[in-house]
Amino acid sequence: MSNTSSTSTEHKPYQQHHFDSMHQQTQSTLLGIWLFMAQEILFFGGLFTAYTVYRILYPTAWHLGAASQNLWLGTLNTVVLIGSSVTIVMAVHAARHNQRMQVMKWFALTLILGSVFFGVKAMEYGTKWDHHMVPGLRWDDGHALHTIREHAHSDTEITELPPGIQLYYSLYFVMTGMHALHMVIGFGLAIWIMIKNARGCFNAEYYPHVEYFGLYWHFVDIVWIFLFPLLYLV
Amino acid sequence: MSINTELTDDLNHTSVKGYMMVFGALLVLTLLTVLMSKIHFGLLGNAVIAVLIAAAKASLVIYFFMHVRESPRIIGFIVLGSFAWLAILLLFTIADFHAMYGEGSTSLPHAMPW
Repeated sequence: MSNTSSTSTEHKPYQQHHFDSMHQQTQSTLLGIWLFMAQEILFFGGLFTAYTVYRILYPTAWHLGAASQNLWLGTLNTVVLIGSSVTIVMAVHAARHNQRMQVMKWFALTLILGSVFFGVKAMEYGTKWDHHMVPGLRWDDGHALHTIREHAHSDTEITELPPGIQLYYSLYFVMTGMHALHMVIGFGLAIWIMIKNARGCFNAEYYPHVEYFGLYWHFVDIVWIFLFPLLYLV
Repeated sequence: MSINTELTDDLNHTSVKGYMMVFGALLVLTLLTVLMSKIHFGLLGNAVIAVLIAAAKASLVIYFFMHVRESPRIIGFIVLGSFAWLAILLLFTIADFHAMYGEGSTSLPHAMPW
């Protein structure tokens, strides 16, 4: 890296006292946020492992469960979330070029797309609630069987619920719920960063909040990139 | 490290054009994964295809959007390290459970009330 001019001894107001230079501060915080990302990968990795184990144990439940999902809403949400990854990467791009209003605009667009995702998700949860397909809270074998039979693309008539079907829906709610919780936290962080941006806390040399929020948001997108095919398609 | 001048700026950051190309690729892969799910390759075959396409999409997001391309090399090691650990967790679990309870195995789990 030739860009080591920031190692000058000049002390910037946004340089924390325990760092020798801006370069050291940037490298350290970047490393820190990526270690947090690694932790998040393993956190969701545990959920994906649970998914995999029960999928092997109850392949029919998983197959019929996925078939009972609304594929078009799932696809729409995938496109929406990928779109919000693009808007947030544009916010980081704007921050790098010191365009404060552009950062604001891209953050606002990201929040709008995030809200669309939540709206669609709420519709999907609502349908499950109406169909009595929420394990532990509102579950009814008769209703669930009816819905699954309606959606199954099989020639053989389904006469009873496959074993493990409630495990599929439990994992569906836990995994999409954990994902949604991360998005809620993201909303809070985004608003906080927009306020900081409005106050002029960032410039082309110093915008770690924007950059690291981008990393977090992309990670949430990646989780969905895996959740979508695993819960809706296969 | 630079790919070419069109897709990166003077600080070797990805340009807007570069981001839009990644966006296009992600949309194409999303369409592809939905279409592939309509073709039957067996329960396992469809799952493997879906995970491979998802992994390709995630790689694009990590490399370009999350700026691993332009970050210090240690960031790349952290990414590879986390996924390597996840692979150990998943692959050994899959091997174990598939051998015991996978398709064609005779030792099915006890029927559970759920």
